[in-house]
Amino acid sequence: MDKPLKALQELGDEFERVEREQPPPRRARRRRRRLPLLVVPGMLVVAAAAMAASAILTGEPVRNPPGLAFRADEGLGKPKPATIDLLDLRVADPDGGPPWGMRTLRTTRGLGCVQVGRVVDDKLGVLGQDGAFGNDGRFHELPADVLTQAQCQQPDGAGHVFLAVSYQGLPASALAGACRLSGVGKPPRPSGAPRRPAQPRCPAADERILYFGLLGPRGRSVTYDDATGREITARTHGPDRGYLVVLRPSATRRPSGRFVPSPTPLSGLASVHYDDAPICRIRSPRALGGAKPCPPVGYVAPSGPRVNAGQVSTPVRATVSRKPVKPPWPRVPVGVEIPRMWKLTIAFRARLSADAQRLYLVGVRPRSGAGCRAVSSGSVNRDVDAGEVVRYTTYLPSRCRGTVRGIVTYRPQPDGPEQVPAFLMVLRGVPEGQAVVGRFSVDLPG
Amino acid sequence: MTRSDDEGGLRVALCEPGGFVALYRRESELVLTFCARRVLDAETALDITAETFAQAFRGRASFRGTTRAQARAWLLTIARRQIARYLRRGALDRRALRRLAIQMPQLDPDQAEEIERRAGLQAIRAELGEQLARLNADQRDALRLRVVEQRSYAEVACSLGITEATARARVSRALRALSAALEPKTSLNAAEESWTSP
Repeated sequence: MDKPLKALQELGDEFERVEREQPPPRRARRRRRRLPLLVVPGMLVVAAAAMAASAILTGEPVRNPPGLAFRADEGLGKPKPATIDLLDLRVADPDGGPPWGMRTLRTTRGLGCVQVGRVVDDKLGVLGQDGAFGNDGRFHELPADVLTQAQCQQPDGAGHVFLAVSYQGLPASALAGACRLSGVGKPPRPSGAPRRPAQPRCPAADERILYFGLLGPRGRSVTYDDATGREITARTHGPDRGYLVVLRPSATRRPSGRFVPSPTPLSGLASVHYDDAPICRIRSPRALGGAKPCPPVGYVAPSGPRVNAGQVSTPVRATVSRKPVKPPWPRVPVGVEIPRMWKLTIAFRARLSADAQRLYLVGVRPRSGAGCRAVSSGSVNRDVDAGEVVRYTTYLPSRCRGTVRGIVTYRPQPDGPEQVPAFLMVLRGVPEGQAVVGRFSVDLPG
Repeated sequence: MTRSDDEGGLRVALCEPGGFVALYRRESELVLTFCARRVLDAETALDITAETFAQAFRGRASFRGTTRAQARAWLLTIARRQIARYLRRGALDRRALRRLAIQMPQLDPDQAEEIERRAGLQAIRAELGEQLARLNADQRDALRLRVVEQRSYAEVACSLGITEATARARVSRALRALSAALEPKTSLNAAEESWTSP
């Protein structure tokens, strides 16, 4: 008889530990709960009263696009219900109606997010206008798990989030994508591609410019110029000091559809005021030297043990598809043809765990003279357990030939406030603070 | 399954101290072999085995079987579900392992080779190559485009100049033929896998 496998023995020891540490479970009992019959009519009465009070009818909630599901251990993660906080921040819309508001939340991956929308009965949502929900005129609640309508960022070492968004053209409905902004041209249609249903134009009066975000614990207020050139001050709300500015487009603020997230305010506002720190004057992007972001006042760099190569190094394997294949990229617009590409799969067994803060980064570069200049770098955008086999897939243009080289590094903590996911170029030397997990090379067929 | 299969009517007291570990020590290699023969990779098989036992541990209070055979069938059902999920999504589920904070062991190349040897993967791979060669050219082409090149059925149909329904039928028939030919090699012996629900 074969002797027991070492890996299974070790795994068995782990189960032995877990069984020892956990109290014995109780036998599961099946119970069905029923609402007392009297409660149901009561609930209906309360709902009807609430509807009458809000004077705006409620429709179905906003949903994620079909086929898009958020996972607790991947990408942004899933919202943690206990962390959802609608800030006491209400901003009037230039045309009236329900005010604008903002809420913050944390996800299962520890990211801090903000969502903006219209507020009815202390609920954040969107309005059925500007092409949204068939222009039904109703209020549609925005569930927290519709993270396509959220902006997220990694918190700093003290748990505060720094985030600034400049939204150059959001319809007054607060739902992006349901109508085409006046500053955005028609998307090109490749010859032979099926005709897409025409997207309605956003009514010019319903286009809005939004600046919003979280300034961190010392952010006191922001100032901006209104349409007449008057400087307006908006104070911040909540522990992460949220701000929200809603304006009509103007000659200097065109509804171009540009959406610019950054850790700190970069453009659009006039100034940012902090507790015990100099005022940050926002420069025009057209000024000599261009725009400059405000400093992250109050940012605490996350601390963690330094990691060296000895702790993370492990064999890294790379394999390439025998032929170029079509990348299975989701949500490709109708008519857009994705070219076939080399599929490169990198695999290694992680020695240390990773999450949204501590990342495994992969950089890939074909050898010079390989017929292409493509470089690819990215992070393993999910939670990784120590001991787990990590597989990372990337695609290179089919014209690439010869040898592809690459490197896998481990970054134990962020270097500063940054966007998610962290795309760092790790090809030209390993940045300070990162440890080399391993290097690989693979020959492309042909 | 009958009462005679229950190895003397042994009760699997999974909720008692040491009960689950005893089950693990008895069945882990069988589950690992079961997984390895389906995913044809030692590391992935070990990961799926670990997650299978982690899920079983978390759900042990709801296990209603009384025999070793029933416990084995229960484990293989969880493993089957994990494998199907892995093949469908291309990613491993590790939620139960994470919740239990289980540290995965390192699998060195020698151990991986040993797992492959015990699971007889070399023979299965050889058989797979042989069975692929036996498929008729139409089915093989459809299978290559769909499975190896990961093309959509519409693209498979377009490439082969057939309707999408025919493309689906060819891929399905090819997979069925491979499955039928390989089933005796990939399954554990019949007695180990047969069961009735507890």
